[in-house]
This record gives sequence, structure tokens and C-alpha cells, in this order.
Amino acid sequence: MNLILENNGFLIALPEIFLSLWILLFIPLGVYTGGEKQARQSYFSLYSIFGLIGAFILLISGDYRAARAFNDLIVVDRLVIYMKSLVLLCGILILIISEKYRSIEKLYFFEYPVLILFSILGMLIMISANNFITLYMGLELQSLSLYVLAALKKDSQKSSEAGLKYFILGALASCFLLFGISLLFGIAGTISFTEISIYLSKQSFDSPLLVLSVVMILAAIAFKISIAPFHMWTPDVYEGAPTSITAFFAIVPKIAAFAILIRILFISFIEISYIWQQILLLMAILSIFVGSFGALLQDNIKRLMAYSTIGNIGFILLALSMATPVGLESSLIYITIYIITSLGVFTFILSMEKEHVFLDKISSFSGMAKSNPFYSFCFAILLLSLAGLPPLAGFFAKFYVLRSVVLEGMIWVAVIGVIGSVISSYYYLKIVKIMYLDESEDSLKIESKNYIKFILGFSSIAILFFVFYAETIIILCSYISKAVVL
Amino acid sequence: MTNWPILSLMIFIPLFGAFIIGLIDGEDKAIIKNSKMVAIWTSLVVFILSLFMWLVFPNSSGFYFIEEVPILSSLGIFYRLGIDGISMLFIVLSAFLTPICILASWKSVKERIKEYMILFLILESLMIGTFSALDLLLFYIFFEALLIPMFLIIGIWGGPRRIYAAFKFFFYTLAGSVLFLIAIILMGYNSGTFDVRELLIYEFPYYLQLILWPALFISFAVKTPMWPFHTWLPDAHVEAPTAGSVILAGVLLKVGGYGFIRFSIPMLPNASDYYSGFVFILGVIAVIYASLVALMQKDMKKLIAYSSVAHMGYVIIGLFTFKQEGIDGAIIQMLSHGVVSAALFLCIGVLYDRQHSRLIVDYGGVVDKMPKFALFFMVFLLASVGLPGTSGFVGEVLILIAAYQVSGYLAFFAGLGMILGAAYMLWLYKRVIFGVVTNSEVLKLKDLEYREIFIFLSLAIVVFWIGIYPECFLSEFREDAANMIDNFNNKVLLINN
Repeated sequence: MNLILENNGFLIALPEIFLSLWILLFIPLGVYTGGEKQARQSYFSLYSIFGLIGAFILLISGDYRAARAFNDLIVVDRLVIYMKSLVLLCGILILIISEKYRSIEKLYFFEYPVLILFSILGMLIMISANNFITLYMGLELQSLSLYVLAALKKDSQKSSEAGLKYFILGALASCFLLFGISLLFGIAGTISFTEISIYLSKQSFDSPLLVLSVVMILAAIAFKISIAPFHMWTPDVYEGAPTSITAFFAIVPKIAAFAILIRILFISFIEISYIWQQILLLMAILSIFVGSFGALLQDNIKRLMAYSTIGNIGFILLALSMATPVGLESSLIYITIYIITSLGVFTFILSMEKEHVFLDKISSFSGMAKSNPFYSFCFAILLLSLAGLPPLAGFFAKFYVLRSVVLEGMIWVAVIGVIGSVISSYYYLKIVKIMYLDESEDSLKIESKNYIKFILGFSSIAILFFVFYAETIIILCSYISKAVVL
Repeated sequence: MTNWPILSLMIFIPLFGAFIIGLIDGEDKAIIKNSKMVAIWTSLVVFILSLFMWLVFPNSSGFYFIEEVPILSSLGIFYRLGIDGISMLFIVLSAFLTPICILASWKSVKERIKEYMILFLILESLMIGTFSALDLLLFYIFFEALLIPMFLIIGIWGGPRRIYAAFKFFFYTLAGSVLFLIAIILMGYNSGTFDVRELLIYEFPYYLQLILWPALFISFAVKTPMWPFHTWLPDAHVEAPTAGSVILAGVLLKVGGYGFIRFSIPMLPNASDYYSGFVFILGVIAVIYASLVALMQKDMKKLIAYSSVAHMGYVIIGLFTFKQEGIDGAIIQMLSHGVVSAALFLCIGVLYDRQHSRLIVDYGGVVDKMPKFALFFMVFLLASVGLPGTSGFVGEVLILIAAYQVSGYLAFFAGLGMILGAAYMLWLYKRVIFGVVTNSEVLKLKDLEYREIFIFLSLAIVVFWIGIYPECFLSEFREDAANMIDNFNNKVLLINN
């Protein structure tokens, strides 16, 4: 390995290296900075936001060509850059929108942003993994930080329960992953994604061991993205964790896990797509139904969003399970739209506060449309988009997924998908009903800073006028998907 | 003149008006007054535009006022508008009924007037969009988007069970139309285009038609509504505010019939032929069953709602005869029903505004206090029954002629519905308008004011116009219908031979 290639390797990993140094600097800074709690909190948030912005700038100013480094341990291509930018941008936005929540709930400590940064670092490593070891390291770094984050509200029983539950089940999933990797190593003699792909393309392989290893690896990743039937932890953790952390959970780790899922499926295992296609299809349909039925009777907005996430992820998975370039493209479009929508939804949830208490009961939104026309309008747009009504973005996302399914001739699967979507639209509509049709004597009045309003307004306008720029997003996503499928 | 972007204007002017109303701010009184004014003027401008469009519209068949802008050019999906004689008249109907609805709610709506006007203007824009879309996906977008404002109109300004009714309306229609979405994707990828004009001449494989047809049928049958998918309609009508019922009966129900004319029959002719017997049975059941149910209603709005089901049953029978008379009759019947049922709902609205009851037993002897009202009510009622000289007659006769050509039994059973129709309508009139006054509240009723007379007069003119000289309307779409039938016969004969 010559020097030039080594340098190249460092260049490719520059955002990660920068971010880890930034965090290492953060820890002594956090310990030794004095002053008032509130001021320290905003100072630390600002510090971490700058770190993320720095990593983002390094990321997008780098080389967009596909490259591998450190003995093929990591890879950079368009998919990696896109997913990493999504992770960083969402991380920044979530830190911004959770400011108010943290001050009111007194989550001042500096470990909060440090842990967030650590988990983002883990995700970045995970996304550019080209080897199961890199993947495992990244995955563990992000998971361990997330376990602690879930249990961050020390005095809340639910939060501790959430953290513990997440930890135990997460550790189990990691075991599955390691077991799957070791089986794969036994079969192929390598754990590099590209080499596995070469190995599998050379010979037709149909051993039960291979199936078992694929199942184990898929189950582990399914756990991380909360795909049914590995979704059990999701509602409890979403409910128990502090809301700002829930927002983080619902968006950022999902991006990273999908990036790695796409890479494993479409690069390493593309030759054996007949094995994972059916598993994925089954999990997708299950998730869509769990997502739509589970949320029907929820009154807690966080639990409801947990089920909604499961349902939406089912749709992404449905597109992926087609194992076609069109399916991959549609899943990327869906992920993009889903992220914009959830950012808006959580911005809304994180500003629902009345006399220093955060409201997570849906019934407490009743009659909001009169007292807060702006908030309710934005939230209604986002909900109707999640329900998949045209002409909002959610409709196009579902349209693309259904299109990729119909193109493969699986009309019955498409029918099942739309049935799930109709059922799920019931609970989205129910929230709209509570906000617009119900009356209430003391409807709450929400005050928040202008930048929060801006984020909420921006995401709902982006959803509302999606038709006008749909072409751009689609071209972008197909450009990115070509990095993986050639 | 037929390449002006008049359709886009008619879609975007109401949206712009809605946007302006959204910006209105100030004192409560000023807000109410200004939003009403903006709404009525916007809808009048659109109505005038639609009349102008009718004036310059050529009588020959084919699509005019075409506009094309790519939305998703990579998939071949366009913002593609254009109208033929059939859709043109539906657009005029929508543009005619919207100002009437706004006028009718001038005083009866008291809460959240700003939002109310915004929703009506959005609704108008979406209705015009639905009838003018020439791209399958664009049609679906307008078709589905109609649900949102209608859901809110029923849900916010409706009666005591408004939330139940709004949800029922929403889910029936949504569940019905999602299969249509899959059908659209299938149709688009089988033929390689979403352009309605190209799809009209494209021939789908026979087996595919048999699969696609039920998906389209469920979607349109729920909207129409056809028995047994009609149960949402009485609830929605009873709970909706008057103007909501007017739009629902006047325009939204026509979207289903329009879907059959535009998509099911010309695009899937063999399947339509194959399933036509089934449709006739459903149509006959709808006509007779709905009429019998209407006979027993205690609530006036419910009675009119069931009469709508019966009348739409005629429309469906007419369409699936695949005869010139049948299709002409069905279209005239839809237009007539659009005006007549709208007028009947307005009549009930007038009574409801004064007495806050829709129950038949609460009335009786209204003629003594409201003679002008009684006159108008009779005109619309008889038009609904199908008295010669009114609009209802033209459509029903044409449909019966066509039905007789298909089968004598079909004509007999459909004709039976006409008799029942006369029975429930006249009985309603007798119980509400004539008879002795049993309820002392009736004595306090005031007759129509000028605003209401103006509304009813304009509707009555249209009723007589269609009834006495239907040629004005028939000539607009006769060639389109003839063309469609030729096309249909060619395709069906090809397979049968």
C-alpha cells in the first residue's frame, strides 16, 4: 500500500476524522466550562451544530467519485455522500428544534450533545462501511450512544425502562448480526462487501447456512430500523425517551440503517436476491399492517408516530424488496420525502407546550385550529401527506413505490399496500379532525421562536408544493441509485 | 380561440381568490364581509369565463383548449388539460353552482366564514380540474384532492353527527378509489402513456380489461353512488350544510358518471360490454330500492338523497346501453339532476334556516305562509319527477328509449322507478306544503327574500331551458358521444368476430 493511497484514504474519511476530533475537544470543554446552566446549554448546542456543519462542508466539498480506502474497509460514492448529508442536516435541525424542550425539561448536561455527536459519528462510519467489521463498529458506536440517550431522563421511570429495553433488545440484535457475519465468513471466507459479491457471483450457492446468515443479518438490521416483526421496542422507546431524543430516533438512525441495508442488499447480496426478496416482502407487508393497525387507538402522539414510522418503513422496504433499480430509486424518493415530513411533524410535537408541560396526548390538540391557525395548518398538511392524499408529497412517494411494485407484476402486493395505506389514513385524519372539528374551552396557545416556525413552515410548504419540483428530486434519486446499481 | 389557457385560468383564479381571502385580516365584521365579497366575485368571474368558453366552443367532436406542461416528464406525466363537449358542460355546471352555493350560505353560515369561503373556492378549482384533466394521474390527483375540502365542509359546518358523516364519506370514497390508482399505474405502463387522448384509442388486452374494469367500477360506483355502495350518501347529505349538499349532489356525484363516460366505457369497451348485464341489475336495484326507501323517509334531506341514488341509477343504465340515446340521455340527466337536486337541497335549506328542522312532520300548510316558496318547490319537484317540459323529462325519456332497445324488461323496471319517484315526491309535497297547519311554528314562517328568489329563479330558468330546448346542450356533446359509440362498436365487434 503506497503513501498516495493512504493519503487518499484519510481524505475520504475527512468528515469522520474531523468530527471525532471535534468531539474529543468537546469533552474537556464541557467539563471545564462554567457559567449558568441555560447559557451553557445553548453554548454547547452551538458548538455541536458547528461541528456538524464543519463535517457537512468537508463532506460536500470532497470528491464525488466512487473510491475505497483502508484496505477496502470504507467506501465513498454518491449514495454514501447523499445519505451522510441527510444524516448531518437532520442532526443539525433536530438539535435546533430540541433547544426549547431541553431547557424546559432541564436536560442541560453537556453529555447530551456529545452523545448525539457520537451517534452521528457512528452513523457516518456505518454508512461508508464496505466491510462487516466497519459496519459493526459504526453500528455499535451509534447504538451505545442511543441507549444512553433513551434513558437520559434519570428521574423518569419510563425513560429508564425505555433505555433498558432498547439496550437488551439492541444487544440481542447485535448478537444476531455477529452470528450472521461469522456464518458468512465461514461460507465465503471474507467479510468485505465487494468480495462477498464477487464470491457469490462466481458460483451458484444454495446452502441453508447462507440463508441462515442472510436471515440473521437482515433481522439485526430490521431491528435497528424497527421493521415488523422486530418492532416491539419502538412504541415503548419512542414514548419513554425524551421527546427530542424520540425525534432523533425517528429520523437519523433510520437513514443510516437504510443506507447500509441498501449497500448490503444491492452490492453484496444482489446475486442471491431470490433469498432475501421474499423475506423483505413479507416484512414489508407485516410492517405496513402493524403500522396501520397499531396506531388506530393510540392517544399518545409519540406512540402514534412510532407506529406511523413502522408503516412508512414498510413502504420503503416494499420498494427495496423488488430488487430492481426502479425499486431502489423509489425507496430513495420515499426516504427523502419521509424525512422532510417527519422533521416537520417533530418540530410541531416539540413546540406543543403549555405552562412548561409538554403535551403528548392527541386529545389535548382539540380546537387548535382556531387558536393556532398556522401550526394546525402546517401539521394538517404533514398528516395528510403521510396519509398519502394527492397532491401532497406523500402521495407521490407512495405512487412511486406502487409503480415499482406494479412494474414487477406484483399487483396483489400493491393492492395490499394501498389497503394498509387507507387504514393508516384513518388515524392521521383523526388528528386533523381533533384539531379542526373538535371544540375546546381552553385551547392551548403556542409560542415559539421564529426559526422554529420557519422550519415547520418550510417543511410543510415543501410537502404542499412537491409537484413543482418533483422532477428534480426524482432525477437526483435516480442519479444516486445508479451509484449502487449499474 | 380554442388554444387559450382558459382552463388553467378557471382552475387558478379560485385558488388565487382563496389565497386573497386567507390574507384578509382586521375586525371580525370586516373579515366576514370582505371574504364573502371576494368569494362571490371570484366565483362569478369563473362563471363568466365558463360561459365564454361555452360560447366559443366548437360543435365538432374532439378535445379543445389543450394545455400541456410536464410535471414528471421522466414518467410521461403531464399537467395536461383539455375538454370536449361532455366535460365542457360539467365545467359550466360547476362554475354555475359555486356562486349559488356561496349566495345560499350568505346568512345561514355564521361561524368561521373565512375558512368556509376558502374551502368553497378550493373545491371549485378542484372540480374544474377534475373535469378538464386529460392525464390519468392528474385526474386522479384532482379526484382525490376533492375529498379534503369536502371532508372539512361536512365536518366543520355540518349537523350534530357531522364527524361520523365526514369520516364515512371520506373513507368510502378513499377506499373506493385506491384501487383506481393501481389501475392507473397498470394502464399507464401497459400502454406506455398517461395521455387520455391516446388511451381512448389504445386497445388493452382483453384479460387486462377484465381486471382493470372492476377497479375503475368500484371507484366510480362509490362516487356515483350506486347500490350497494351508496350508504355514505344519506349520512353525508343529512349532516352537510346546505351548500355542501348542493355541491355534493350537484357536482361531486357527477364525477362518478363522468368517470364511466371518460374512462370505463371508451377505454375498456370489451369489459364494459362483458359486465353490462351486472351493471343493469345494480342500476335497476338502485332505482327501485332507493325509491322505496325514499318513500319511507321522515327527514326531507334523506329523501332527496335517496332520490339522488335512484336518479343516478338511471344515468348508469343509460350509459351502459351503449346507444346514442342512452348516452345523450345520461349526460342530460346528470346535468338536470345537478341543477334539480341542487335546487331541492336549497329549498330544504330555506325551510331549515327558518325553522331548524328537516323533519316532514314539523311542517304542513307551508303554502299559506310561503306561497312563492311553494311555487318554486313545486317546479323543482316536478322536474325531479320528470314532468314533460322540465329538464328531468328529457333525460329519462332518452334513457328509457335506449333501455327498451336493450331489453323490454330493463325498460319496464326502470320505468317502474319513475312511477315510484312521482309517488314519493308528490307525497312529500302534499305533507310539507299542503294540509292543515299542525305546528304553530309554521305560522311564523316568512316567505322568500330577494336573494333567495334570485337563486331559485336562475335555477328554474335552467330547468325549463333544458326541458324545452335541450338541443342547446345536446348539440355540444352529440358528436363526441357518437364518436365514442362508433369507437366502442368497432372495438367490441373486433373481439366478438
